[in-house]
Amino acid sequence: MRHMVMLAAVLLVLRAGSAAAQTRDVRAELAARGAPPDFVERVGATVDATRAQGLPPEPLIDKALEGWAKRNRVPPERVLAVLEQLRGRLAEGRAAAVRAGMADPPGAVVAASAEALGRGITADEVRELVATASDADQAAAGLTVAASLCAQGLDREAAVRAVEDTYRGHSGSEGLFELPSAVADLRGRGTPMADVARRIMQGGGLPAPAAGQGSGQGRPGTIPPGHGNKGSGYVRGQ
Amino acid sequence: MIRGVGVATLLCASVLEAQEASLFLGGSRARYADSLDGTAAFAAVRLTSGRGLRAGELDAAFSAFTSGGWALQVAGQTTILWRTQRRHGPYLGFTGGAALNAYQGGTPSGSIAAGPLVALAAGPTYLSLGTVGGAVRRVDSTWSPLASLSARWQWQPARALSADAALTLTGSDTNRLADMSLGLRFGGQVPVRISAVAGTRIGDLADGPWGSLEVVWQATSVVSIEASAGRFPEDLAGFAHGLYAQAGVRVATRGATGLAPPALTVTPLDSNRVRVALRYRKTAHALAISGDWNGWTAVPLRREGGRWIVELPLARGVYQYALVADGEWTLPDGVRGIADGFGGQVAQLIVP
Repeated sequence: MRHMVMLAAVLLVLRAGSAAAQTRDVRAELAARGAPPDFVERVGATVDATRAQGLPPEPLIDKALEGWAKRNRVPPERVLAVLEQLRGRLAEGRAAAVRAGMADPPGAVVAASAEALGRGITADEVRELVATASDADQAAAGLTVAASLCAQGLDREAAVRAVEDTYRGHSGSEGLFELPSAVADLRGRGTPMADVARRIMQGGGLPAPAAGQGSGQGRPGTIPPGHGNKGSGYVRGQ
Repeated sequence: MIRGVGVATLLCASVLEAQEASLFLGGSRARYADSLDGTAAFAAVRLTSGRGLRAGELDAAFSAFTSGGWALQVAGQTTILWRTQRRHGPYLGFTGGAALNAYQGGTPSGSIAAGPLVALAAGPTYLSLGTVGGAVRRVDSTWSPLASLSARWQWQPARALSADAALTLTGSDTNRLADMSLGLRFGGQVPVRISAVAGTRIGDLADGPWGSLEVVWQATSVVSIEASAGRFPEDLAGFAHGLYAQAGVRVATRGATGLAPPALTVTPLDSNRVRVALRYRKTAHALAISGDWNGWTAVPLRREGGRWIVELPLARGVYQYALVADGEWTLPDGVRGIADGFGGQVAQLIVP
């Protein structure tokens, strides 16, 4: 129940952010932070064009504010170039969501798709994560979480599969936001990344490969040979 | 023997790109069914890879007996899966493994087998079916063909708990046997992992139930203390069944894609507020945190002992942030950075 409440809160934040983006004035926000008029206007024009394309402007606004905050080492031209790249990813993300069957994908899905693409998840995998989600809210959450897992160092395919498994699992959507915490927790306890990937992927049901080795079907790997039925093993009586 | 090691190495090729390596130093005592027993000190190396749907492991152990003499064991396995259809699976794949035993004054023995498998996933439940074919070299230097069919069911109701059941049918030479096992693994919030497996065998080489209990205590991020004990069954290579106990210390690398232990902790105070504590060892007169939750407006941190502390109005979710130390953008010690697109780095702040 607590998780359902939290998921609802997260989705509410996503929706509220998207709605706020329609009314957020990037020019006013940048001007309030002391940005020069020329920079303000060029960013504003890019955001306007993004909005006119039907793409969510919120990621661009956040990125512009980040770029301005880092102005002591990031020139304005670089910020504008990054915004154009992000705009391209938003268009690519929307195209992937449309291919997944969403005629008019919500801004939260498009923004999350762009975020996932930016973390190395392929357009096909984005389409798959959207297509396998139960609804747009779950798709947005799943894409965000997959991007987060990749950013934490988890293998791309493992991240996608973990999200899909959570879609299917009994834990439902609220389990999604447990995944990044679980990875962080495992890493915090020193669990090797290979083990983290395996646990996150829930083992994959991999069978023991061959009789005579593996758990339970013979000596454990570090127990030396004893006495062969027809041969002479090394272990001596003590 | 050299050929056997070569085959094992090739078959376990995926571990050549090992993401993790560990060294295990310990001691073991085994008592075999024919009343022989021995005590040995051993050193073991394990290479592990778990990238995408590929997993591999290679173990090599060298034992020195208290009564003199040595034994060398090398075992490896690799599994590769492919998804046939994105939405529901199934997964098709390949699994293979090899094992080699050699000891002073004895004849090398071992096994090698490989084959296809199919796996289905449905929520927390996995079902896999695989078959392998290969050969066994017995302790009397004879070779026998090996064929095996195994089914495994795995259930993970919680991230810290998993259970599995397996059935393996095996035929080799004149031996026909079926192994059934049940396993339970627990690894919760405490740094202790416990796993238990119990099984029984019907058919040839049946000699009563077998099982093992293993406890691993993760003492630090790279050092763990491991202990296990149990009963093992007779194997196809001709070694008798017996009892064993072993304990040791494992030292592991973090691996190429591993992360340093996080030097940042996030503690929820309520549903919309968290306390962030982080470590920043470099000299800084003033430290602030800046992130995407407030338009990258810097919020100053205060120093408490060896940590920097701040309370932030954050709900559950994933955020991006960076630190500003005396006007310079930076990250806490030991935190993984991700590209910010501007030629610098940010990090993730995960609110659980």
